[in-house]
Amino acid sequence: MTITSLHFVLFTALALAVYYLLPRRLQNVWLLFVSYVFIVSWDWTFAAVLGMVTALNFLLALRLRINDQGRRGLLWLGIGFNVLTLVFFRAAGFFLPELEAMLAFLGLSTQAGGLQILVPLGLSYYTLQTISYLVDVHRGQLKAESDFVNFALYLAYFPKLLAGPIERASAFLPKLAQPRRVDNRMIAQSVMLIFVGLVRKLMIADTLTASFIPDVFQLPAKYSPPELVFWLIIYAFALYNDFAGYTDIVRGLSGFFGIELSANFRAPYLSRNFTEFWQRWHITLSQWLRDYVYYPISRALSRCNSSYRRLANLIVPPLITMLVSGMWHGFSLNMILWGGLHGSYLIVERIPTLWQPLVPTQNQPRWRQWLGVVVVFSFVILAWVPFRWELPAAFQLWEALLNWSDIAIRYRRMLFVLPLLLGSVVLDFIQYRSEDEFIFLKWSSLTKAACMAIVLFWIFIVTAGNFEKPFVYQAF
Amino acid sequence: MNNGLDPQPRQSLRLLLRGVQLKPATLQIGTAPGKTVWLTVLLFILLTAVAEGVARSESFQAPLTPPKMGSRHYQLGHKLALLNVFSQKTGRVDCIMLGSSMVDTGFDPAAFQTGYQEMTGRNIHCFNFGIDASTAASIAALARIIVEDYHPRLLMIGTDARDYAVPKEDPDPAVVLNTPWVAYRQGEFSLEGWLLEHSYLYRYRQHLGRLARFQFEDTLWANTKLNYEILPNGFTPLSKVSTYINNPPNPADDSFEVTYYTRIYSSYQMLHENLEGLESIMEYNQSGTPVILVEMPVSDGLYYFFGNREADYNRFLTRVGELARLHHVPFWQTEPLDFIPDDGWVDYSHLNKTGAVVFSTWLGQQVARAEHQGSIKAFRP
Repeated sequence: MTITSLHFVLFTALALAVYYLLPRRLQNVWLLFVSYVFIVSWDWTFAAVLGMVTALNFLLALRLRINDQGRRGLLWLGIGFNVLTLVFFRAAGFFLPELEAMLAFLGLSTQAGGLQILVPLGLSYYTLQTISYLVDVHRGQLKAESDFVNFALYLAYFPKLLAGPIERASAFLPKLAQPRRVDNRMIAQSVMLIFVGLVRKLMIADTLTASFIPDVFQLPAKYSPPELVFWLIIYAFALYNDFAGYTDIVRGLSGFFGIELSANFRAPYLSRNFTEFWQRWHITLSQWLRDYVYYPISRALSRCNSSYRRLANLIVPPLITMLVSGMWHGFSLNMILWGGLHGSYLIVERIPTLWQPLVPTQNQPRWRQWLGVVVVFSFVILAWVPFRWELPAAFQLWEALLNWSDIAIRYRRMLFVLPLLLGSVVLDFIQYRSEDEFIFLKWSSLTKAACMAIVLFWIFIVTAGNFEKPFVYQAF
Repeated sequence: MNNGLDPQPRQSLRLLLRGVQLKPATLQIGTAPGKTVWLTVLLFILLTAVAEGVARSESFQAPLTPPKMGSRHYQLGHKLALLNVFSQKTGRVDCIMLGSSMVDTGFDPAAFQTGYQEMTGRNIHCFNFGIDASTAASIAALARIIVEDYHPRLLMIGTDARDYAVPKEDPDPAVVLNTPWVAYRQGEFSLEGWLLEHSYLYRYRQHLGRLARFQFEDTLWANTKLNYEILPNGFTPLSKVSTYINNPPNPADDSFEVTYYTRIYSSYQMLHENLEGLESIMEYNQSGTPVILVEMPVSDGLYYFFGNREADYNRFLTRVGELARLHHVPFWQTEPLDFIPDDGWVDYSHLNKTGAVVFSTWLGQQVARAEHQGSIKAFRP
């Protein structure tokens, strides 16, 4: 059941109808129930894994609260369990063939089709939530949740289960404890988020993805560098709009339940430096990595008395943080390279701080800010190459980008795609300039209605109801 | 004035009617759906209406391939679109020949018209509506649509033994019969069928979706490559000449043609549903649209596929002949005439262009003769 399917719309409508009729306490039980129904609609084993992870973390956190002795040990036990669960399922693709070969060598045959382990739905997202929850409880920043239903719902809440946002328990659990209020403002914001999400996903991302010339990245040598750059930009915008569209839709959906979810994107391709990029791209993951990887490493290094402390603090935290980010996206060399590249960008960006104080971006001349946007975007799209393609293909593509002997441009298809690209930029720019993601609500009724009518027309007429393409980040 | 209600409930009712919820737990909507919602609905309807108008325009339709009317049959949409243009250009459709691929490749309306004109001096406009893999049941469904929409003065059915052997559930006829639009036109209501019948925008929605995804193949005429050519009068002329049509098939031959005919004919059965379909077509004869039944020519080699050779084939001719007599419909057999030259075949049962000209000229002359003898009154002024 993908979130743009008709089944999901009906499922949510039913869930909402019952939800509004129930008293607050039962609302959480109902939400937990429908969340598990949603998971089981994919595969019952996903629900079993989530149930196990939930129970174990709930009990561990209670133990962390009451057991002063050996708390650190319990914390590491919990972190270890969550990380191992994630690694086991995510890395299954790597070790299963070897395991199978070993079993075959020992004369033990596996079933027809071989060993298969499906990565449970949303695993990468909810394991991060459990880790941060345990750490926060251990640090005393958060009381361990004593209500199992609330804790289970924190992990399983179906609008955010597939691909986040990665919510912090300290912000999310209080929302579950409070009475919910869905008023006009919330409905207007939710509808706006859903419409913007649909524009991003169905009108921009899916169309940009469909516009790719099939072999442009498989046989990059056939294409000139300007063409490759153009299609890389298209890929970058397709990926961004796909994920941002997903986030907007689930945030809007959650608004109808009276539960606000965190924003994940704020016009990332208009970032003026790499640090800002990570404050605007997949914000909830970036903040998680900052708080639970970057800061602890940085603090640990600050406590060292080494003369290279400043240099180490410049290099090690961003590099390790981004490598962890890469591995979270996938246990593969290309993802590690992607993370390594971003880590390197952050390091290089901070080198001048070794000898001069940092000038806040907003205090820099306007031309330099815009130059920053261009530079950051250029390097970000170069890094998307290993994010999307295996290493040999990625190197081929980079190599082809350097071969400027042929600069022929087959522009026909590009011209078709360009308006959508501009549409995405304009959408971002409006929100970026106003610094208000709900700016569209301030438009006149006629303008809003015209935009919504066009979106509805596109969805029901132009896409002919064929809008069940999965979201890219669902795969992580 | 007191209408019997206490002031408090009356106020509550007023608030409720204005869309105000009374102390709900979660949902606290303060006002009824706003101006934006109504405007959105209005603009959506307006936009759809404008798009419908555009979709009906010739300039919109011209660069696009014909809509498939919700069918996966590659030919149905093309033939319907061609018939529509043909009808508009000629102003009237004098006759239409329906049938399977044997009609599609075997009936040349131009040769038919020539044959008819030579005998009568009058010009008529005929269209070939042969649809690949049709059966009598699926032809009946299409006949109903065509008679209702184009009111031909003569309906000719090119028939062969295969038309009665394939069940309705077989993918070949099902691809036509299970199309929501065809089902709707047979009286089975469905929203999709209704939309396909009444909305050009809906008919072209797949084109729009494909164009929006930059898929130009099978969407734009200029980018569509057909491996056959259908003429504006519906005829698909084939130039291939078969060399084996009088020989028995090689049992080791696993070509589609041999395996298909073996499957259909080795234990030949005429299915009730197909005979019913034929009868429903012949009933037009009583309701003002003359019907002629014509046996499509087959080569001698085809008999080898039947379990009981000519006996099975004759069973088909006899049964169809009986039904034709019952409905007072002429049934013209070509088998005894043996007038198709050896170079007039594509395979065991399909005529090529040469064969189609011979057959169609004969048919035109035959219609003229029947008209002269008074057995049909199709084209008499």
